[in-house]
Amino acid sequence: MPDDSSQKAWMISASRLRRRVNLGWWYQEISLPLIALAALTCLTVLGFRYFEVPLLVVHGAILGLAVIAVGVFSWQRMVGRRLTHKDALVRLEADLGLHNALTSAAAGRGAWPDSAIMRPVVKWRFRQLAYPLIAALAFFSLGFLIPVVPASEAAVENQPYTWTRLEEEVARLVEEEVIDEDYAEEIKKRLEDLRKQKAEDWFSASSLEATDSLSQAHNREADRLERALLRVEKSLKKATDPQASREQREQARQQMQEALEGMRNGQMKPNEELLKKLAAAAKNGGEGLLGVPNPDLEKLRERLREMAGKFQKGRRREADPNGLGQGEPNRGPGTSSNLFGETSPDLPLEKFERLDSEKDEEPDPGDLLTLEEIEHEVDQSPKNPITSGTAENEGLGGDRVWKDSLDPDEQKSLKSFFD
Amino acid sequence: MEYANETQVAEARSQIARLSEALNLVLFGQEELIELVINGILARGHILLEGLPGLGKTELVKGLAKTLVLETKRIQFTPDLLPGDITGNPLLQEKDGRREFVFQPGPLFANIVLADEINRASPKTQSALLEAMQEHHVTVLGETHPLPAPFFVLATQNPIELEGTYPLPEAQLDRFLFKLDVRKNSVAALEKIVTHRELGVEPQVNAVLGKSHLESVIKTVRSVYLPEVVANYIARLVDATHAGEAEATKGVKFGASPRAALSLASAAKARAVMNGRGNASFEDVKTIALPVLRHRVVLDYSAKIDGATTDTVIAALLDEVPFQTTATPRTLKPQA
Repeated sequence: MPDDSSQKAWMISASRLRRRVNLGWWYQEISLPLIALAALTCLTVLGFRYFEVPLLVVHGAILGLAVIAVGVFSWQRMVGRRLTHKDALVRLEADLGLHNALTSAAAGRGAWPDSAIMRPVVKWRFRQLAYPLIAALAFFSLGFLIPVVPASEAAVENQPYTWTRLEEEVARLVEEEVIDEDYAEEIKKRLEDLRKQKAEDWFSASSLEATDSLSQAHNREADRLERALLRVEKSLKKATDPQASREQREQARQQMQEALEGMRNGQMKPNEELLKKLAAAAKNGGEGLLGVPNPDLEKLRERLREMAGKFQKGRRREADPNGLGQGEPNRGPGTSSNLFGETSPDLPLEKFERLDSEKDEEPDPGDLLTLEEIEHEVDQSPKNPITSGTAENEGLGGDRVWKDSLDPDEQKSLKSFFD
Repeated sequence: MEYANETQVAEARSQIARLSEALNLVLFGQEELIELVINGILARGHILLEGLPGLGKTELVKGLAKTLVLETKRIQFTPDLLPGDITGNPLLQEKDGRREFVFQPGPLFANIVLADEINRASPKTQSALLEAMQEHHVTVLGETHPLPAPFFVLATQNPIELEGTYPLPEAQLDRFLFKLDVRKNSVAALEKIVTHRELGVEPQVNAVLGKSHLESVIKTVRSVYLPEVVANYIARLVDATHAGEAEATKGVKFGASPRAALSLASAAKARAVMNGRGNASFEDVKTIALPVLRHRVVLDYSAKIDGATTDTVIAALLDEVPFQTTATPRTLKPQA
């Protein structure tokens, strides 16, 4: 082979080797930063999805710029190890056992060796190439594949159950045209006030007690309206009974009037249209109603019964087959009887025992005067094993504290706060 | 600088081949040793031959002298040998009616000096050899006398019977280009010796290379191209012989000197010519590294206790120091 073509072939081979080795170094240098960038991208995408930030083209462009920056950074890092064309020639002659013939020929000190002996001196390690790429792609994909519940949904899912129940019940009563929309708005506003707290405080004792209070107030209003509706229905029946005496009908009309007045004054008012009809009926009085066609009155009474029934339905909890989600947190059955160890048999606890005051004068308030054996109220009934996270029984939560632990002034103060 | 061309190298190679062929007729089964001795001569270095008695060290040197047609002197070193006995002494002579000192050259005044059992001479006599080996001249009574060119010292020493010997100091060892281990012959070589030799009869050797031819070949060797990358490899290799510079040289007390680097370069050039090349290579350096470095590296006691020898240390060093400083990335692997 002519010397010129040999020279050209060796030069091309050296250039190819140089590119391959430098690319290998660059890939080695970029591997770790690329994986780190992919991990960071994964976290960023998860964050975007959590906070419901839409992914835009500009985000993709930033990612692209970051990849380019990592590439440039890696190229800079491999500067000291970069193979030059001269180094590549040396590498070729060393690996092919050419006794430095290429270096000498390049320096004009000898002939170029025959290019027939040329062969690649390095080859790719495909595992080393694949692992970082797979890792980076995996991290990148995980950003999109890991299920993420957005912050807003997560907050709704983790709110106290009573809030949801109250909202649903009030919405149902409005939808079924049982109650006035103003009341629904009022409940909604109260719930929004509770939600304005920090999410981590939603299950705090104060929040739960406020929730209990709101729920109790709602139930009281519902009970009151239910009773009022039934009373109106009963009065209406009596007022339209032809066999009743005039006095009895008048009495029934007055009872209906009072019940209607009560409805108007309560926080939870019935549907406005119904209230107008009932007001008109009460105004007509006992005699007047006799002229009303019987089917219309029956329809009105049916509607009243139906509405009262809707309150019953609202307060009936739907039973969970697993017993989960019933009732609010309670304070458990109390401490074990053996919590403080065995009681000393020497203590004379069978009867009252008078203790002599160590002071000559009158004892001060708080001085121990007598010892008395007190049986703790421990629930001794056998209990079946329960699943972790299951509510043991349906408690009343904050209501118990409200009734048992607070004095009347405290109750009044708390009530005024929530009202 | 003018470099040797292909014709000169080819001519030198053919003459070296004739020399090698002739020496192989003198000493059977020692092809490697003969090759290294020729290598050392072409690199203009002195050679220290170490081996058990009767392995042919002296015979090889005598054969070399005969084939090269050079003046040869043999000095048998003994403890009572004085410096003047090897350098020469001034003798009082009468000349033109006047009595004056006239220098009588000693056995050092030859082209090839065979210093037999060099470690049996006293340090004083050994050191007299230092100037001659390094400077190629001797100084007696303040008067300097140049030695004939070319000048080679081929010394032998015995690794046994060390009682009453004076080990060569490191400074003097450093003057030798090569330290060659003369090993025992194989059965086939012994059989050939028994068949072709007779006790007390020296083998017939023909002269193959005159003094002028030898100088011409040496000139060609000197003009061999030493690539920069090879020089860099030599430098890194010599540097790595020092303690702490490489993993292999942990047990080294003293490393090789810059003279070792020069010796490596010179010997690598000679080897390139012997192989018909106009340039020295990594492979040349690697081949002659052991005889060049083995007497220049001093191990500490802990390494010796661990069973390390200079040969094992240098072999490990040659494996450790790469031809190139540029490494290969993990993403690539060498193609077998």
